[in-house]
Amino acid sequence: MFYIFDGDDDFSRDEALAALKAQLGPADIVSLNTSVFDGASVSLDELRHACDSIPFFGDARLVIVNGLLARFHAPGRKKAGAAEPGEGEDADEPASGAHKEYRTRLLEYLPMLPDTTRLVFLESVLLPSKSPFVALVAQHPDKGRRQAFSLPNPRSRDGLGELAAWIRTRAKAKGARIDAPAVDALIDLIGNDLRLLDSELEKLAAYCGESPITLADVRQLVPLAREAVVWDLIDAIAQKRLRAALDTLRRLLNEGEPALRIFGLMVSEYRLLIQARTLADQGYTDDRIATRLKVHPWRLRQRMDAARRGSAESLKATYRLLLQTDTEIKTGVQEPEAALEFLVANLCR
Amino acid sequence: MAQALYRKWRSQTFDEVVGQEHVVRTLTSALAQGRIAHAYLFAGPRGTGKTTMARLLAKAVNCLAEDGPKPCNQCAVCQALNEGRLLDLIEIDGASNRGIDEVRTLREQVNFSPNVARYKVYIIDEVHMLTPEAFNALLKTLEEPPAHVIFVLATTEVHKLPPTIISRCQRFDFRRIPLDLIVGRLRFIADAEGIKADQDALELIARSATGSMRDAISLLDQLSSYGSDSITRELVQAMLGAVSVEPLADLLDDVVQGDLKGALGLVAQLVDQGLDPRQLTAELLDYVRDLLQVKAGNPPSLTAAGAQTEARMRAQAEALRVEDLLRLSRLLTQASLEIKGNILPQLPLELALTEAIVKPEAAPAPAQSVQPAQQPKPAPRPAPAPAATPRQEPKPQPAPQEPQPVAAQPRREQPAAASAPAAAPASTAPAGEGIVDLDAVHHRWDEFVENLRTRTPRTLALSVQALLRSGAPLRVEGDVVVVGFPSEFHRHKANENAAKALAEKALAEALGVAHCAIRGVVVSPQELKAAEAARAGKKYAAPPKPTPNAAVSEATDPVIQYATNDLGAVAKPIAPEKPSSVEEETP
Repeated sequence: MFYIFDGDDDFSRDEALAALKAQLGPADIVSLNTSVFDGASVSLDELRHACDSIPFFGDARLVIVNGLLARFHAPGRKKAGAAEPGEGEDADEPASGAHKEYRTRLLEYLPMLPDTTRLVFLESVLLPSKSPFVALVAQHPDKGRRQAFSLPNPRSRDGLGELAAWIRTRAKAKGARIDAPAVDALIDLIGNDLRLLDSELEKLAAYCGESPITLADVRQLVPLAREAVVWDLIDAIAQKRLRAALDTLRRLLNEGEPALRIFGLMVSEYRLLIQARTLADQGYTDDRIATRLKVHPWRLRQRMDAARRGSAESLKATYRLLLQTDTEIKTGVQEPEAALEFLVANLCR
Repeated sequence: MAQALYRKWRSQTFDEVVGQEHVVRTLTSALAQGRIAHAYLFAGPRGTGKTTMARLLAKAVNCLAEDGPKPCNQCAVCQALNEGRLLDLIEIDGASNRGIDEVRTLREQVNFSPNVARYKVYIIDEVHMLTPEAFNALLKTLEEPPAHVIFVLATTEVHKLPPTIISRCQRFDFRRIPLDLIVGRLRFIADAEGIKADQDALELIARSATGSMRDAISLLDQLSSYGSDSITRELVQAMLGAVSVEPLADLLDDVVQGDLKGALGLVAQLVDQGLDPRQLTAELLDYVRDLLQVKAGNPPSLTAAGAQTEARMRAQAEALRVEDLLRLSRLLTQASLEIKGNILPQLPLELALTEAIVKPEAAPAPAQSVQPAQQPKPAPRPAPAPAATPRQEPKPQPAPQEPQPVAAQPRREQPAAASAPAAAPASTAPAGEGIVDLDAVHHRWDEFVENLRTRTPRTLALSVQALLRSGAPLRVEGDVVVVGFPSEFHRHKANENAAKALAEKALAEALGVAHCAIRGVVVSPQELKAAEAARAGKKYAAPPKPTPNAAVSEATDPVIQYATNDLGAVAKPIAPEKPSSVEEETP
């Protein structure tokens, strides 16, 4: 049997591989019978040698090759930088004669794999649909299997839905329930890093136990949530709520966030405000501003109101205040935490 | 040699861990369900329990107890670990084993099964010190660790770790331990060790530890070996070199009351007692910072000051404005900078306090944010002179409020032109019907805006009403009422002919004058707010008597009245030169 696990979702791919290993028997026996090759350097002879060996003590041999097949579809000299999975036309053109031979012989060899061998090709990109290996799987459904793993794209509507469903299923598998705001928050904070999502869900599930996972739990446990807390701080400042701003700042400091990092985040937020305001004054639309500044549209939308509210002059004054604070912190005039508090109070006026 | 207190009293069960409830709860329930991750990352400031928690975890996963809470601290494994002789707990100091060779050695050893325990636990402290190569080597192991190994990485600077490492670990963020929890723990240890300590001494220790339990316990340890019967607040202060809070509160009282003599005397006294002026300035700044929190409505959490001082702080925060506090902080910061290398180290502090007391109301310069009004003046005015009378100066808070001690000092330096011809004020404005009084405008404004709805054409009237609601009258120049608007859009709209005519007519009627004009300017939100506040203050005051001319009105102006009657100021005419704070317009 040979398997093709391809796609950019390495977390699910690793899980599939782990599941396959688990099928083959006890872990220590399997590890005796496992060979791992790097696709960039392995020769066909090495590969055949590993595959044709008879399993030692166990029932099956497991041979894992990382990134070999994608090599055959790598861009040739003619078309550099076009290794996209969509480029089906190119897929049939191997990069060189040696490559071509390698590929042909491999294609001939695969159907003849011994029954005791499981050969797994792990590919970090999706194989083009015209790939001869994909075709080979179709020809020999009993000999080969292909599983594609693509990450859901959190910027598209479908991707968002898919991601939300994944989070819910995953939480359920861990014996936990999760409410909708918490799902949204996780997507906002982590995006489609499934490994991180899984690890955070594991934590949240253990923390919440029987009760459902809520937004408050996410804020409590997910470290990245603190970046969002900095946004709370900026919001409080924009609305001139001194008490809320100082509260938020103190909370961040108490949670161990370094003062300079908070300051850095504040500066980058105000920098974004000034840039957005300048572009808006030049007549750019919100979407084009987002593209120009390379920020996520929803993040920009949150900020645009604030950007439009103040005069350009007051934004500049704010920026000068930030610079002054920066200088004072870094020349040791003020303690960073004190400087931040006074800065926030100043901005709240 | 006696063991250091912080090691002796390191928490031995999850229940004893203080201030990290979210970590404890997650870990204990994960342990109960047998869901153990292969790599953990504990991040947080020093002394918040990272290593303690890592050891507890190592103990709990290996504890042999059949049931009941783990770790049991009874079984062989727990005891071996507590005594530091469990071979399967490997603690590595990342700071001194940071190279690739050390990590390679680790990788080789990882594959061996544990000696006696269920899991081999590797605790790598200060893991952020590893070199990039070492991180890469470690990553391979973290990606596929053998089933019998648990890694716990601990760091104070998680942002120095590569994201690949972070994403392979279950990350927990440790927080600074709240003051009261540290105090509670200190009390517990002190009682158990038979150390006598005052409550406020413990609070001061906890405060100086800024959330680090280890720092707090170490300090307690040092103090307990000092040889005195009991740990008092004074002892802690002496050890920390800290200024006690009372003199600071006294100093601030002097500032609030404008008592320059008292303040300077106190500084001299404190410096004579051997206090470092720089330290004093820093502490004073810290105190001001705390006042800011109090002013904002938060408890002064940094100060373990006791109820009495807290009440004083509240009173001081009441008496001072946020602006005053910020100004004070600026003065003190500047002073602390100038102390370095000054021949008289306490001089900058004294100067800062003097400046805070003598000129408490540094007039915020509104002119800076007023944008030039491009529209031509609606009604030609005879002379620029009126703009120079004190009465018409834009004041951020013209309404007499409850006597503010900070504001109480009369301005000593009058403009240099005080000797200008006394005739100047008399000629400020031509006597006649056209004179409009700011108080009257303030008084009638709401009514006027409200009554606009009855005017025709109705749509125009309503839009004018909406416009004026977003603005506020700033001042009066002759018969021109200057109205501040938050944006150029508002100003432009208000200056349109039809809108202007309608509003002016209505305003003239409301004020009972034959003619008046309205001119819009753009002002900053702060100024607008100040103007609003001034107007709100006036609204409920008695309506001012009609004033035939400016010279008379000067005497009846409540601010001037207050200044002359209550503060002993002398009204002097000043030269008709343009004050800096008045709007830019020159005819």
